[in-house]
Amino acid sequence: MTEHDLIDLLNREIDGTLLPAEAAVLSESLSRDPLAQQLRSDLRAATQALNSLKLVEPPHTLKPGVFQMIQEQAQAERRPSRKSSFLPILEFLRGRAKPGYAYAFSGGLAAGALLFALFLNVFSGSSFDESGASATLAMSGEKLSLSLDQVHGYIIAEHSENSNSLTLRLNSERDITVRIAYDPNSVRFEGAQILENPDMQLSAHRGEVEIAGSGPMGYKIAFGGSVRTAPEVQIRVFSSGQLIYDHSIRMNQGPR
Amino acid sequence: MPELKAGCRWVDLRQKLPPNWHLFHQPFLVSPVLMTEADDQILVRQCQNGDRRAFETLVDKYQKPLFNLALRMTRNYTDAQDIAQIAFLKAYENLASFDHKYKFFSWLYRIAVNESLNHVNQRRHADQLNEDMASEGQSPDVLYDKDETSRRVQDALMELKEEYRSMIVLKHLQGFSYEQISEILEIPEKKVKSRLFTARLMLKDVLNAKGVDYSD
Repeated sequence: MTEHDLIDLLNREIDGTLLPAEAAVLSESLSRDPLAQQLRSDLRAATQALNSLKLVEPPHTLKPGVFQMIQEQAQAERRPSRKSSFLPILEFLRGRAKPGYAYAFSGGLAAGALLFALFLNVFSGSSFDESGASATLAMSGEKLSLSLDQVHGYIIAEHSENSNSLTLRLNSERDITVRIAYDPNSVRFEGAQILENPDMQLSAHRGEVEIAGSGPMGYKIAFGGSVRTAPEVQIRVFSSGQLIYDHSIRMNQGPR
Repeated sequence: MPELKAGCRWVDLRQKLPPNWHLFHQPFLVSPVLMTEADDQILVRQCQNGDRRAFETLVDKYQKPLFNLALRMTRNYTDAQDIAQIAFLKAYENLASFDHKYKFFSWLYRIAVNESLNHVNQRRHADQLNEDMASEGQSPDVLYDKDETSRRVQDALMELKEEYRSMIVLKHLQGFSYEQISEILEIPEKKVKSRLFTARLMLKDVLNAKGVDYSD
C-alpha cells in the first residue's frame, strides 16, 4: 500500500465512509505497521478534540446589519461625489511653497476636524451617525407631542438593546387611524399592549401595524430590532380618512 | 395560514409575550438550513430580479454557518460578525454577475473564507506595527467557548497556518465533503485530502504541546 492510499483510507475511516473491504485492508496494514497505527491514533485524537467545538449562535444584529450596510452602500452610490474644496489649497501649498506648509495645513485641518468631532460627540449626546437618515432621531423616553385640530396626544419611543416600543396616547372626537410602517428587513413587530379602549381595531401586515377606531387610543407597540441599526418607523395619523400627521423616527438609545 | 415550505415553521409569539399583551397574526418564517442547492438557485434568480426578500432568506440560511466559519478563523466574536456581514454585502453586490453554473453556497463560502484570510492578515500586520496591541492574554471574545476543553482546542487551531485552519473548519465544523471543500477553495480534491490529513496531525501536535491529550 502506498502512503497516499494509507492516507486516503485513514481519512475515510475518520469520516466514516470506509467500505467493509477497505476496512479489512486498512486493518491488515495497521497490524503490520506501528507507524501507521500511531498516525491513526493521532488522527482520531485530533478529531475527537475538534468535537468539543460547538456552533455558536450569531448575534441578532448580524442580519439587520447586512441590510443596513446594503442600504448605506446604495445611498453612497446615489450621492454625487464632491471634490474637496481644500484640495486646490493643498496642491498650491505643495507645488509653490515649502512642503512643510502643506503638512502644517493638513495637520491643522485634521486637528480642526478632530475637535469638531469631539464637540459633536460631547454635545449631541449621541454616537449615531445620522448622515443619510430621513427621520428624526428619537432618544429613549422621548415624548413626541401631537397637537392638531382633530387629534391631541403624544407618542413615547423607548428603546433597549434589542427591543423598541412606541406608546401611543391619542384623543380624537372623530374616527382615527394610526399606521406605523417599518422595514420588515430590519424591524420585527412583536406585539401590542392595550392601555386604553380595547374597542380599537388593531391589525398587522408585514411591514405595517394599523390601529383604527374612535375615542381615546392607548396602545404600546413592541418592535424587535437592534438599536445598533437605529431602526426607522413611519407614523401616519388619519382623521376621518384624511392624512393629518406624517412623521418618521429612528430609534436610538442615546448616550449611555 | 399559508402553506409552509418543508423545514420552515411558524414562531408562536404568544410564548414570548406577557399574559396581558394582545397578540395578532404576524408570524415569522424561520428557515433552517434545509434547503437544497436548487432552492438557492431559485432564490438567487429572484434576487437578480430585484427581490430583496429572497436575499433575506439566503441570509437567514447562511448567517449561522458563515458567522461560525469566521469565528473559528479569527477567534473574535465581533470580527466574525463584521466578516460575515461584509461577505453578505459582497455577495449582494456581485449577485448580478453570479454565474449559475457554479453553486451558490461554494461561491458565498469562498467570499467568506477570503474575507477571513484578509482579516487575519490585516490583523497580523497591525499587530506587528504596534506590538503593544498584540495581546498575549485571552480575549473576552473567546468566552463563547464555555469550557476549558473547547478553549484549548480553539487556541490550538489558532496556531495552525490559515490554509490548514480553514481546512479543519470547513471539514469538521461545517461538515463539508472533500468535493465541496475543493469547490469552495478552488483547489484539487487530492490536495484537500492531503492538506486536511496534515492539518489534523499538526493539530494533534499542538494539542500535545499544550498538554492536552485526547488519545484513545
